[in-house]
Formats: sequence, structure tokens, C-alpha cells
Amino acid sequence: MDRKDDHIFIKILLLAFLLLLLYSWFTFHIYNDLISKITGAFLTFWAFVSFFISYQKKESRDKFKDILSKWLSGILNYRFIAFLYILFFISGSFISSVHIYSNNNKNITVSIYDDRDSVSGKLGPQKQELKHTILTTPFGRTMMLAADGYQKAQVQIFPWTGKRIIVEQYLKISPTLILRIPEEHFMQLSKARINIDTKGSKKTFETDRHTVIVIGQSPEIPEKYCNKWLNELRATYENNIIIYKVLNKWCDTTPLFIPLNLGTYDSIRVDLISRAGDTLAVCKGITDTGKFKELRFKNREK
Amino acid sequence: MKKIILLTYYFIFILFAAHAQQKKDIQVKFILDEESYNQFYNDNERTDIESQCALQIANLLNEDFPFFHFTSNGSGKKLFIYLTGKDKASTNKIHETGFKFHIPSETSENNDRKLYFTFRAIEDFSKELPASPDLFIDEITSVFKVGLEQNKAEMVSTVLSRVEISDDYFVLIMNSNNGIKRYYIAPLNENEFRIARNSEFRIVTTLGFEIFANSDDIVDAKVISCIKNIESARAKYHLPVSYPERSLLMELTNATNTSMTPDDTISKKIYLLNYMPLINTGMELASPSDISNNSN
Repeated sequence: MDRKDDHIFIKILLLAFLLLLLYSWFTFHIYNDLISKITGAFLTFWAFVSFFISYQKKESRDKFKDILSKWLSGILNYRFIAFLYILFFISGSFISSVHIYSNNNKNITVSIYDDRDSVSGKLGPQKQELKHTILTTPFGRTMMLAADGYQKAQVQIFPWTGKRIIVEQYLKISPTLILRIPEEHFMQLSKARINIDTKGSKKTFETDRHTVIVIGQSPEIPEKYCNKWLNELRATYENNIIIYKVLNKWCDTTPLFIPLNLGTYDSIRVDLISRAGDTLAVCKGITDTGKFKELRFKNREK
Repeated sequence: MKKIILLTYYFIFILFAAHAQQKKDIQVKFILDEESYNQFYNDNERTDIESQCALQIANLLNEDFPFFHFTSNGSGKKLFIYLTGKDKASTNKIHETGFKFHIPSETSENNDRKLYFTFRAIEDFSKELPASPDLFIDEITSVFKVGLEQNKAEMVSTVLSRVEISDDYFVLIMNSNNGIKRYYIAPLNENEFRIARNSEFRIVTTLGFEIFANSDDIVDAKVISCIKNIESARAKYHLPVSYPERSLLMELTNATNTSMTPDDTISKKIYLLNYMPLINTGMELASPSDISNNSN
């Protein structure tokens, strides 16, 4: 037995360890399906070759073993093994992955992007995990993560470790704006409309008798707002019939819910337009870090 | 030839009589003066609402006050009816709306809108405006009708009393046991103008004097009857032929010391202060025996 043969066990161990690392790395960063397909293909190939060899004559079997022995001696070589380790290290330094989880009970679109790349997918009750293999650098790569109903956030993706994100924990929920239609315009609401201008897009909605407009993610009006409005009304009116009529209009009717992904410090302008086309009131404001924010309409200057 | 002269005389008489009985035109102008209503309806709809309301309100006024001829696009004095906030100076966000009335006057006195009745109470602030202008017109006219029914007397005393009902009157001086009594005759046919007894008028006579400025002689009079025998009145008291049959006879309710002479008079005007409508039920009286006979 030569010198090489003396280290065959160590070489096999090194190779096996490399395969273990490779398998783990593949499992973590590359889709499981791909690993199982590669493994399955390899085993099928080996089973077919073994079956075929077992029915050959002894000379043929010996010849095949010689060929296999030459291959193995070529592989079980310190230089080659070192090459494989270096190749794996270099590859592993440029490939990473992002794993995104959500237990949201509605379908949301999640995307991760930067100037060069953009990948996205849907999460929801049917699918609670998304995996994306991302090209990175040895020093990491900064990308943006966006999800419906949540504020965007930066994500640092490093090689080897990758990034695991639970949407509900990692991202802040997108702010929701609450807009009350001033009571003096209630009589207009059967046929009025609102124009929403935010982030460069303009949309128009019929008010359809709704007295409160909720723009954002949460369609409900928190109780604290109704208490606040009651105090305001008491400061303005003496007649209890009027106070509670107005309050009921605001708090006991379904608000007009406009789902919109607002980020922190997004500016918004909402115009209340009468049936005849006059601008009755205008509401301008900027979102903040809170979950809810109330913006007020100001009547158009007469 | 004699027949032609008689016919000409007859025509002149008819012309005078017709002139005397002609009702004064009042042009009704309805104005939507509430900002929230104006914001809801566009220009064309507002014009339509204003013209339709003026027409329908003129018809209502003609029914209730037949002593004037109300039109929506005629001539004569203008009666402005504003659908507006109760208190325009108020800073309250929500407010009551109602009808206000205004007849422009050459003089500045009494130029405010005294009569007001509610269209939508403050509690109805959230009531939706109907998208169809026709529905809104119906709402306006039906509420106006109810308000007018409840405010007829105020309508006459504060609004219509500012338009003269006649430009002429005749003073009838009669001797009676209590002395000389002065009556006024207005050339207004009782049936035509539907004015009954106890209606009250204000008679304003503008007098001109040589040495000082004009002054008004103002007396109030009440209808006590009508001239039933016009020929006798013309013959005995020289009542002008322009005065029609059943002209209203009034007696003074207050008297002034002004001593008028025909030469002093520049103009005569009569204003209606309190209106008692002439009821024409068309019913026939029946005795209890008639009723019992018919039922048997």
C-alpha cells in the first residue's frame, strides 16, 4: 500500500464531511426539491450501474472496478479535495437565501428587492413559507422587504447564515388613516365622492353615505376615537340630540374602508367633492409611526 | 248715431271698470341661498329648482292670497323668497334652514326679512339631499305650503302689506245721527279680490304743500261692507264710474287730524294689513225637516 493508500480513510472522511456540508448548505439555501432530485438521480444511476455490472463476466467486472478505482484515486486526492472545499467556500460566499414565514389568515404578496433584482411571492393560509435563493457577497447584501399591509424594511442578507424572517415580527404594520366627514356635509354624502392622492397615484371613490373613511390596513375604528369625538362634540354643541346623532353617524355606521399600503411619513391628500363637482373640504397629512392616525378635513375657503 | 255714442260710453265704462279691478302683479323670485344646497346641485339644476319653485309657490300664493296676481316671470314688484340658513351670521357648522321673504323697497325702512318659517330643522341636518331636483322641488313646495298655512296672517301683515293693493280710493262723507262720518271706498270688487269684512287696510295719502315737504297721511280702516247699489252711489255721492259693483266700503279704525283737500293729494295707496278671506262654500242651507224627509 502506497502513501496515498495510507490516508484513504482521512480522505474519505474529508470528502464525506464536504458532502455533509454541501448537503446542509443545499438544504438551507437551495430548494429541498432540487436536493432530493439530485440524490434520487444519483442513486438511480448507481443502482442501474451495479445491476448491470453484476450480470457481466468476471473480466468485465474487474475492468470496471479498475476504471472505478482510477476515478476514486483521482477523487480521493488531497489537492482535489482541497479544490472542492475552496470551490464550496467561494460558492457559499456568494449564494444565500431568505426564508419568509407568515401566519396571516389572508393572502399577502411579499417581495424582496433592490436596484438589480426583485423576487416576490404570495403567502397566506395555504402557503406559510417562502424561500428565495439570493446572490450575495461575502460581506452581505442589503435589500428591501415589502409585504401587503406592512411597512417596508431593510434586510441584510449575509452568506452562509441567510435570513429568516417572520413577517408579523419583523415588519411594522402599515399605518391606517381615519378621516371623518364633517357633520355639515352629511347631507351631501349620498352622491359625494373623495379623491385620494398619495404616492403619485390618484384614486376616486364614492362616499356612498359613509361618514368615516379608513385608509390603510385596519377597517375598524378604535374605541378611543369615538370617546375623543364625543368630547369634541360636547364642546361644540349643547343639544344632546345633535351630539349623539353626529356621533352615531361616525361610530355606529360602517366606515368606507380603502385598503392601501401606506408607509411611514407618506403624504396624502384627500378631497371631498360634492355631487355638483365643488370641493367641499380638503384633508392633507403625513402618516407617522403609529398604527392609527386621524387626519381632519378642512372646509374649503368660502 | 245715438247708439254709437252709447256703445262708446259703454266701452269706456268697461275699460275703466276693468282697470280699477285689475290685480297688482307680484313677481315671485325663489332663491336657493343655502351653500350646502348650492354645492349639491349644479348650475342648471339650481336654475331649474329656482324657476320651478317660483312657479309653484306663485300658484300657492294665488290660491291663498287672491287679491294679488302672483307670477313667476311677470312684471310688478318682486317678492324674493330665500331658502337660507336661519341665522346667516351664526358660525355653527350645522344650522336650521328656512324661508325668508323680502320685497325691495324704495325706502330703507322695514327692509329686513321679518317673516321666516322652517324648511329643515337643525335636527334634520343629516337628512340627505335628493339626487333628483324634482324631489327636492316637491319637498320645498310641500314644506312651504305647510309653513304658509301656519303663517298666513304674518305673510299678509309683514310681507304683502308692503305692496299697495290699490292706487285709488274714494272718500264718502255721510251725515248720520252721530254727526258726519267718513268712509272710504276701495275700487276692489269683493268677489274678485276675495276680501271679506273685517279685513284691515292702511290708507296712505301723500300730501304736497307749497311751503314744506311732502308728508304722508296714514289712516287704518276696516272693511264693513261693499257697495251693492252702485248706481245709487254714483248718483248720490258722485262715485266715479271706474269703481266696480261690490267695491269695498271701509270705516276708519284710527283717525288723524290731517285735513285733506283734493288739491293737496299727490298719491293714494291702499295696503292690506289683515286679510279675512271671503269664503264661498257653495253650500245650500237645509232645514232639519228637509234632512229627515230625505233620509226617510
